[in-house]
Amino acid sequence: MSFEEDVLKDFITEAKENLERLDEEFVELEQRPEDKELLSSIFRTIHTIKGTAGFFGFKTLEAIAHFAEDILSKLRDGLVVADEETIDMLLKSVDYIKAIIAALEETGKEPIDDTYLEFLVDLRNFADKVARRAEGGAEAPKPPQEAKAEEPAKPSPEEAKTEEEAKTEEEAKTEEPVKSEEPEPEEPKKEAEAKVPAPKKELEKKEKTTPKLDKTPHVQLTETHVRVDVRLLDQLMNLAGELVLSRNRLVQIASKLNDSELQNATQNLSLVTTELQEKIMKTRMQPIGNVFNKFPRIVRDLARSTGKKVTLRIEGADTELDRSIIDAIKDPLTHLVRNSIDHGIEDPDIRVQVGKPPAGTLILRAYHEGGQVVIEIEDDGRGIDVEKVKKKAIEKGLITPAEAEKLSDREALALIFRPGFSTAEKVTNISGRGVGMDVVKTNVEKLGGSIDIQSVLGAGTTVRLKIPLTLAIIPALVVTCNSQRYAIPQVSLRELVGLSEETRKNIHQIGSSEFFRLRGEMVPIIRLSKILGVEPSSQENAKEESLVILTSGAMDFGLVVDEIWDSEEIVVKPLGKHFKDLSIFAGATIMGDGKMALILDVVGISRKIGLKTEDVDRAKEAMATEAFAEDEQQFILLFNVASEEQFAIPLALVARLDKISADKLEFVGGKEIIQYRGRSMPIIRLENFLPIQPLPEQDEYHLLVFAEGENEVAFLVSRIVDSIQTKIDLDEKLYQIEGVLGSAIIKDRTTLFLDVYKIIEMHDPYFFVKVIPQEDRPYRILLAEDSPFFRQMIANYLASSGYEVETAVDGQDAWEKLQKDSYDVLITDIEMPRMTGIELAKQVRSDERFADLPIMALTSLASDEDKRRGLEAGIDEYQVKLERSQVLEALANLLKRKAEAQAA
Amino acid sequence: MGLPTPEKQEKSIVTEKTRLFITFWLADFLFALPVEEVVEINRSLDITPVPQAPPYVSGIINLRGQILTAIDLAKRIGLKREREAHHNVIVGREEEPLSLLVEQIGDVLEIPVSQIEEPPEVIEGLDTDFVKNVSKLPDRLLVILDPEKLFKV
Repeated sequence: MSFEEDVLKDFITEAKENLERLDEEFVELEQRPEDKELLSSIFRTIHTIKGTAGFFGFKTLEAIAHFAEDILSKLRDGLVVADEETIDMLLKSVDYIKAIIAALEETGKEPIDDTYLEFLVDLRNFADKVARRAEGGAEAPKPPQEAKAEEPAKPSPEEAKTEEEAKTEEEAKTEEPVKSEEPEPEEPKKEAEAKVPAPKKELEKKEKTTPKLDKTPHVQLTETHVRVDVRLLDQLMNLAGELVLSRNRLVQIASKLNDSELQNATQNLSLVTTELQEKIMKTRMQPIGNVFNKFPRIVRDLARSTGKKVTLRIEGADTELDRSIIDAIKDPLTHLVRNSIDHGIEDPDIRVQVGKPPAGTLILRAYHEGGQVVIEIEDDGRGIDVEKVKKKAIEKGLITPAEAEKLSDREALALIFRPGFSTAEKVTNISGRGVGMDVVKTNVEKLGGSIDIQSVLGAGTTVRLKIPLTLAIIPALVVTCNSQRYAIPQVSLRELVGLSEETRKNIHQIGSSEFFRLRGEMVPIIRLSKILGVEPSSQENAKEESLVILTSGAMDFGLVVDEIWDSEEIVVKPLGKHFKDLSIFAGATIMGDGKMALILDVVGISRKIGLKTEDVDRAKEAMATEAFAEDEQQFILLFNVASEEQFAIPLALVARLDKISADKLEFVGGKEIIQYRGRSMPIIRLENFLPIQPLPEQDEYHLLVFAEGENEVAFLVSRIVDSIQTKIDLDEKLYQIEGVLGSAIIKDRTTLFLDVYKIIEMHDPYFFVKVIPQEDRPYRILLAEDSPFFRQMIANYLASSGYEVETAVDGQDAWEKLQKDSYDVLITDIEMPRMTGIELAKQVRSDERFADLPIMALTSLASDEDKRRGLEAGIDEYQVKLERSQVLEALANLLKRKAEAQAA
Repeated sequence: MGLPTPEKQEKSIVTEKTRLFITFWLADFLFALPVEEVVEINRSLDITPVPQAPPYVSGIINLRGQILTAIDLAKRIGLKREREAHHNVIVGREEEPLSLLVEQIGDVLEIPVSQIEEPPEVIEGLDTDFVKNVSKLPDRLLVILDPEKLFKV
C-alpha cells in the first residue's frame, strides 16, 4: 500500500467517525441553536474534511464542505441563528458528504453524478442567502462586517469570515487564472475547483486562529489507538478460548498430582488466562451507543416527514456488546424504530384528543440481564389492536377465523412476525419497504437472540430484543440425553421443572402429543430422545428426568431430557457442511473436560415438534377445565382462639388483619366494640356462637376484619398461625354445627373451617343487605358445586342475603333437579365430575323450557379466555366464588334483567 | 507419523516423475490419497456421535479446538468394513477439513506417474464413483480416491 493510499484510508475512517458525531450534534444544535461550543465543534469537523479533501483533490467533496463551512461560520459567529431550514440544509450536506466518502471507500474516486452538482448549486445559493441574512442581521454590532458587506463584487461565502479576510483577497486573485483553465459550464464546479489552492492556506490559518484545544485530541487519538482487523481479533479470541480449555485440563491434572509447586504455577496460569480472555473479549466490545447514536437523526427525519412530534430518549447507551452483534442489530433496530414512529406514535392532534402530550416519546433502552443484553424499543403510541391483527391475518390467509378465535393476545401479537404480514393500513414510504417484522425476527434469531412484543391498546408498545453479549461465547445449559451432553443456549431458556411423581401429574397425553400444564398454560412437550432418534432413558433413569421449558419466540415448549448437567459458558463452533440439513443443531462446543457437546437449535427443534392443530385445540379445551381443578386451591388463614383449637377461613374473605391492645375493648349497650379508624366497630367473640374454648385474657388481640359495604365487624382471636395455600378436602359429617362448614387436617391438626357469613349473621341478622323478595316468595336459586366447602359457604351467603337456595353436587345432579322444580337462576361451578358447568350450560341452553333461565358461573379465578368459553356455552355471568358482594350484585342485576325482559 | 516434506517431492520430480501417496487399509483394499491432500494422521480420537446425521457420518472430533466431521469412509464408498476403523486421516487443505476413518495406515508410496491409470469400470465390492485412479502394485491394486468426491455433501 502506498503512502497516499494509507493516508486516504485513514482519512476515510476518520471522516466516517466524525460524520457519525455530526448527525448527533446537528440534532442537538436544533435544541440549542446558539451553543457556541457545539457550533465550533461542528465547524471544525467540516473544516477538517474540507482540508483533507483539498489535499487529495476531491473537488465535489471539498466544495460541499466549503459551503457548509460557510454557513456554519455565520452560525458560529452569531450572525444568523440556526433555524430548521438551515439545519436541514446542513444535514443534507452531511448526507452528501457521507455518500461521497462511501464512494471513495469503495472505488477510491468521487462519484460522478449530476445530483451532487445540483445539490451543490442549491447549497451555494443557500449559503448566499445565509450570507445576505448575516449582513442584514449584523449591522449594528459588527461594523467590520458591515463594511465588508458593502463590497458586492466578492463571492459572498467568504465575506463573513472576518478572520480570513486577507486570504479571501488572495483567493479572489488566484481564482481568475484557474477559472480560465477549466472552461466547464457548471458554476458550482468551477467554484469548487477554484478552491483547490485554498484549503492548505485555510488550514494554516486555522492552526493560527483556533485554540490549541482543537488539535490536541487528534494527536492523542493517533498515538493511542491502533486499528486492527476484526478477523485478527476473532482469531485471538478463538485461541484464547482454546487456552482456557487447555488451562482447565491442566488444572484438573494438577489437582490430581497434588504437587504444590505445580499447583502454584497452574494457579498463576489460570489467573493470567482468565484475564487474557477477558481483555480479548473486551477488544471486541463496543458500547451500543455506536448504534443508538444514529437514531436521533433517523427519528428526527422520520418525525419531520410524517408530521409527527417525537422525543427520543436513549438509555443505557454505554451497554457493551460484541462488535459483530452491534453491526447485525442495526437494521432490525432501525426497522423497529421506523415502525414505532410510523404505526405507533399518533399525529399530534390525535394525541391531544386522547389526552396525551402532542409529542410522542420513543425510548431506546439497553441493559444487561443474565448474561444477555436486552434492548427495548418503547413508544407511548396507539398500541397494537389485537383484533385488527387477527382480522388482517385472516385476510392474508395466515390463519382461519376459527383459529383466530382461539388465539390468546400474546399469540395474536406474534402473528406480526409471520412472513407476509404488515399491519399498516396504508403502505407508506417509511415502513412499507417490503421488509416485514418476520425479517427482523429472523435476523434477531440468527444472532441467537429472541424478540418479544407487548402492547397495550391506546397506551403504547414495547418491543424487547434479547441478544447474547457475544456470538462466540454464550451461556448455555448443558443437559444429557442417552449419555451424551447437549448444550441449550440460555437465551431460549424459560425455566426448569424437575419431573417428580408430583409434577408428572401435569403431563397430559392429548391425541399423539403430550402437554405440560404450567400455571394454567398448556405447553407442548417432546422428548429430546425422540427428536434425536436415540434410545429413550430406561425406567429407573427416568426418575432423574427433567423438563426444560424453552421459548422459540413464537411458541413455548418443553423438552424432556435425561438430566440437567450444568450451566456453562460455551464457545460456539460451527458444524461442517455435512450437517447442513440438520436444523436441530446450532453448532458444537468443546466442554471443560475436552469432550464435545452439540448445541441444540431451539427454533429448529420447535419446528420438529409437529403439533397437530386439533391436539392444540384439545389441549386448550382440557386446560380450560383443568384450570378449574387447580382453582380449588385456596389461600387459607389459620388462627387460634384458645391455643388448643385451630380454625380456618378463606383469606379472601378477610378485609384486614390488625392488632389491638386489650384496653381498647369497650362494652357499650350490651355490645362489645372497639374504636377503630375513627368509628365504633362491633367485635365478635367466636365462643359466643360456637361450642369452643373461650378466648384467653391477653394484653393484645388479633382482629380479623370483615366488611360489607359500610358495615364492618371483626373476629377477636388470640393468634394468627399462618396463611397457606391448600386444597380444601372438607369433612362435613364430623362437626354438624351451625357456623362450621366442616373439618380438615391441616398442618397435622384438625382444623375447623368457619362459616364467616353464618357467624356474622348470627351476631347481627341485619349486617348483610337483603334482597327485596319478589312479590310473594323469595328468589329460588339452584347452586351446582361439587366442593362441599364452597357449596356450603356460597349457599349460606346467598341465603343470608334472602335467597332460597337448593344445592346440587354436580352438573348432572343440577340437571335432574331442574327437571323437577323451577328456579329463578342457576349458579354453577365449572369443574365438576359427571357434568361440568360448561356442559350443564350447553344442555340448559339447548332446552327451550330454560331459554330465559339466567346462568351464572362461579370460579376462583376467571380469565378472559374462560369467560369467552363460558359465554359461548350460554353462561350470562362470570364471578369469582369468594367475592361475595360482587356475586350478589351480579345476581341482582341478572334477576333485574330477567324481570325487565319478561315485562317487555 | 512424519510426513514427507514438499521439497522431497520436488527432488524426486527432478529425477523421475513420481507422485507421493498416503496409503491406508479398509477391508481388503489398499487405498491412497495424494500426500498434498492429507493434513495429518491421528490415531483414535474421541468421536461424538451426531444424531440424525447422514449414515456415513460417524460424528464429530475435536482436533486441537477445531471441530471436524468424521466420515466413516467404508460406509461412504460402499464398502463392508470388518474391523473397527480407529485411525483418522485428516484431509482438506483448501476446504473445511474432514477426518476419514480407516482401519490401518499403510506406507507412504512414491509412484511413477506413468504407472497411474484410469480406474476400471467395476471394482468388486466398491463404489467406483469415489475412485480417481488406480495403480497396479506388484502384489495388489492400489485404489486412489478422489478427494473432491469425498468432500461433496
